[in-house]
Amino acid sequence: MTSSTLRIRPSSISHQGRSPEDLSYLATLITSYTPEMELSVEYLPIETDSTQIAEISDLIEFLSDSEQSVLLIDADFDQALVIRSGQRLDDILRQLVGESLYRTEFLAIIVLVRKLPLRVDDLAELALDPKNDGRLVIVSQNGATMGGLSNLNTSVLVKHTLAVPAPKVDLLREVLRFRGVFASEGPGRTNYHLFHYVPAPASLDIIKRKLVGLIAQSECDIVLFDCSNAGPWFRQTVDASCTQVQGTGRELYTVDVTGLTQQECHHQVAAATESLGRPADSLLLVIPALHQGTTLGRTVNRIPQDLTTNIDAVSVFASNYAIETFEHHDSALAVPYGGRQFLVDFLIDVPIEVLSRHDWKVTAASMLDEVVTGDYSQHPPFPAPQIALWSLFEKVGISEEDPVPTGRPAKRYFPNLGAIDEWDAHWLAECAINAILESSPASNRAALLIVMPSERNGTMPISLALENKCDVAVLTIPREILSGQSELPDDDRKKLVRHQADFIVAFDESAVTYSTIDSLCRVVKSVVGDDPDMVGAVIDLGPGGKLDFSITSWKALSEVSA
Amino acid sequence: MENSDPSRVQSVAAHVRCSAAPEGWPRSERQSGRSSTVRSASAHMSPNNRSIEGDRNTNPSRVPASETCPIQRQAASTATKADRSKPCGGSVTEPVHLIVLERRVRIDDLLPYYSRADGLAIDNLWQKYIAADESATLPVLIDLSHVRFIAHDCLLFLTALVRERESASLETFFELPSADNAWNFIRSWKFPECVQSITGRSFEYNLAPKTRERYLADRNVLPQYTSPIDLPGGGTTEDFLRKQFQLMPLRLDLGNPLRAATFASAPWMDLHMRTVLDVFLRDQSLSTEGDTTNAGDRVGSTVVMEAVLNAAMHPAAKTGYITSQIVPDNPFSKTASSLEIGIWDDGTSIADTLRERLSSGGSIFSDSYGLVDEIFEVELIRTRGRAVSQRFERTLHSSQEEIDAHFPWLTVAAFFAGVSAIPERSTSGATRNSITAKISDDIDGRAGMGLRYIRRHVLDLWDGEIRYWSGHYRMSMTKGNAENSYRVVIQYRPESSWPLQGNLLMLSIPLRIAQGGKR
Repeated sequence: MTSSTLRIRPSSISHQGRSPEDLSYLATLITSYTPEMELSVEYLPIETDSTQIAEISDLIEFLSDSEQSVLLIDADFDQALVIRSGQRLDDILRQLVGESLYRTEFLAIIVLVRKLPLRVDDLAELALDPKNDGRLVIVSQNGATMGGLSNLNTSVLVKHTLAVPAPKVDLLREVLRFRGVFASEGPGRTNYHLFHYVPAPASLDIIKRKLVGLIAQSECDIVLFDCSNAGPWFRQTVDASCTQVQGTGRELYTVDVTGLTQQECHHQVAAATESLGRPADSLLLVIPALHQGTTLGRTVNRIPQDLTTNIDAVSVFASNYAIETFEHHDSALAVPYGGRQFLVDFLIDVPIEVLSRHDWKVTAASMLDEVVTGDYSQHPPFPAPQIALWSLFEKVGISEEDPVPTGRPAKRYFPNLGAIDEWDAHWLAECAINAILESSPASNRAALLIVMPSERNGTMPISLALENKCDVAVLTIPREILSGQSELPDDDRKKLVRHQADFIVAFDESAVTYSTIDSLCRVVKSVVGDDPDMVGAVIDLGPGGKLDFSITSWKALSEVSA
Repeated sequence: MENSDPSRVQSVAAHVRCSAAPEGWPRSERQSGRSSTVRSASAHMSPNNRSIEGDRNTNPSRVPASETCPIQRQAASTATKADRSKPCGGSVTEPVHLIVLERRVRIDDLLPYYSRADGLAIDNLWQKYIAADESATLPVLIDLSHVRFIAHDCLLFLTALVRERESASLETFFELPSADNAWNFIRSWKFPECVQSITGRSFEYNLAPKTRERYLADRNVLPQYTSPIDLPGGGTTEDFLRKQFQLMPLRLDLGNPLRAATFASAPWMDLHMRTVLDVFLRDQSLSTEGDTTNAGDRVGSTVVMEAVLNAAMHPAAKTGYITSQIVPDNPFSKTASSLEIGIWDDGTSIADTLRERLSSGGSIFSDSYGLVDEIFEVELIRTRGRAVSQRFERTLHSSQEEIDAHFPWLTVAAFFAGVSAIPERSTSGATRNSITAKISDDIDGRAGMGLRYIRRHVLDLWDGEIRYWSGHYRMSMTKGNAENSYRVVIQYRPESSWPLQGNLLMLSIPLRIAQGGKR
């Protein structure tokens, strides 16, 4: 039995889900042979590249003359992430699958998706159409199937497919870490932290799924949650999780205890118990983050004593301090409070850096009025606080500029952005995206192409973050092409042409004489006939007036380096 | 989000009355009140109703407005922009006309019966009492003081009306509902801000005196459906419980329809809202154990998205408003609860856009046209007053190679897959000549699918209703008896009625609880 694979993704989230290698491996497991052909389509959410799809359709037809062929299509990604993605995907699959079914002899076409389509989708109509003899089967990530039921061979193939679990999503990839000085009120004093974490939209669905699982497993009747120091994402996720559980018919009450006094909390819990018509068997307490256990203790203190006998807790985040400090019970942490121990499940562990109030960053942030209190997630990442950038430069260090564009000396003091970690690269990339969207009302995240130089400085981690975490398309161009020593490869040229209707931005790690930005513009113009729509950099060290945006800028006092 | 006790919501059109200006309004207005209009209105009054005159005569609090009242000032003018600078209390020469939606007692069983203001009611009122003569060119007061329930489409209709009248330098004034729930509804749904953005003046300027006093007194009190939230940098703002419900202005002239569409659909993609909709809209015919469908996602990602993209693609569209409401089930009319979404834009109508294309010799069919068999059974009704004067029936089929280029048929044809005013747009034709051209012309690789996506979801998947109003046409589309067939009723209002400017698309999606769930 032979097979072919086809991986389909919107260009802005081409990394999501199985890699081409994973897909090839899955096809090998299903059919016992390596796939004969592995194809990939990166489609644009605004417009379908019909030429590319027609070419792939012809290739599929060419290779599918054997009755023992299987076509494995991987369209397993979160459609809600990219605007109009679902409509485009359904349209493309209708063209590809529809033609393959009618024009070829495939034994089966297996389409892997995140969620099953609805019956008004063209793909569902094809799968449920009896004329297709069950040759088309759609498999969702959690193992539900559509179509293919009438064909025994197909069922066997699906069984093999389901035996290989979908790749796990790394929640950490979907969390944005803000830098800055963040203050929270502790018992009798103010605590300062260097980082603040906010889940990206893609991770909320995963967090919800995990919370739904935990709530469904627990026998709790009442879910209490405390939104202190958390953004709207937390309330939204807990509400959604409880609604989903309630939607299955389970009687469940939610109580938001944020900001409630002990007496108010008593009233709320009593009202929920009254609605229940019997004493609550157990409570589930959901908190946004577990660090020293302060929020947990504060909430437990406000719950009526007669109801505190059986409390389980879940925290979305747990700090490295909490994980190192509290005792582990299976996957939960045992947090002591008031002579008792509470088992706290957690979903994501993150590093927290506590700042003393004498730390220079706290002092400087206070002087600059940049200490953040309350909910920071309400703020967009851009403009970034000055203290956040200084703390980043402190971390990565300052050295002589390297590499240096030809035609000027190196800067003596230059932030070593090549050393930034994934967290900071993601944060800087989000700053850039927000700067672009803020400056141009005609831009849209799903319709952005960021063109950057490919160099061994900060551009590398930032371009990776843009591509893998920020849901935008990126094209990196090596220095030799920027300097005119070689031509842009065909694939990159095609990518620019395909994105020519998008909002194109030339972006660099830093700009001094703007020569690299000019080179990026020249390359873009040579292919699409027009300059990029916007130019920007993380750091603007030039005379100014050239860039549309920068995340920070300054005029260096000491320029010289031999 | 409803604004009345569900059990008391009535779907019957409100009693309507038109009157000359009351006592307390400028003298010449009363004197010059159009007697024929008054008589006509009186003839429709229930005997159990108090007259507005009587009401005002016995209620001293209704007496007027101070000399500084803007409505008085404006009534005194000839309603031109140039005259707005006239001092207060100037001589009054023109009447202010009133549209009243009034509470009345049901005669047959004497049960309380509450007025409901919806788009249809306003449409009927306008046709009946204003548009028939030159009154439409005078300042108009829309009196909602006795209204107990307001449907969100009423706000969209009034928005369109104010916008059109403002562009003709005509003033429109309001008497807001006295009932608390309807009063709160208007404020929560941001109608004052909407009128303010259209007129460029404070909302109180467009209010009748008594309403104005209450509005100003309540200005610093948050309405019922909102709650205060603290801003991180200090201060507070009001947080509407669900932002997707209130009148949301859309900039449609930015050159990027996706931007407006993203903005409008984002609140519907809120995780909690998606989950709630998933519970209420789950496709039970596909229920697979352990699986979750993405029905909830589709309201934002497809229905709202495509509706806004469609609006933004209308030629000359600069501004739009989107709003929604959950209407509770009504035991009297036996209608189920539904999610209602409405969007109005000020662009050229769908039919005119297609007709312009045809008249320039172009085609309106893309490659997708005719790929699916689709049938629309259309009934066109011309009305004169309440009577039906003419009735046409016609079947439109996607196999037809030509479509009658008259307004109603082109409007229906726009819902076929593959019908578009720009059917040839594709990647190969994309250029970077300008931001506007490059994005709006290439918004859809396979043109003419947006309204089909909406139709497939609202009608085929959720068994709802699509209403589309433009000019004198009022279209309603529901699912037909067979697969891919649809029933369309188009009412053609008399030429004397108010021609709705732009496009008003209203979607009604019945809500049902998923199997095994509970409310």
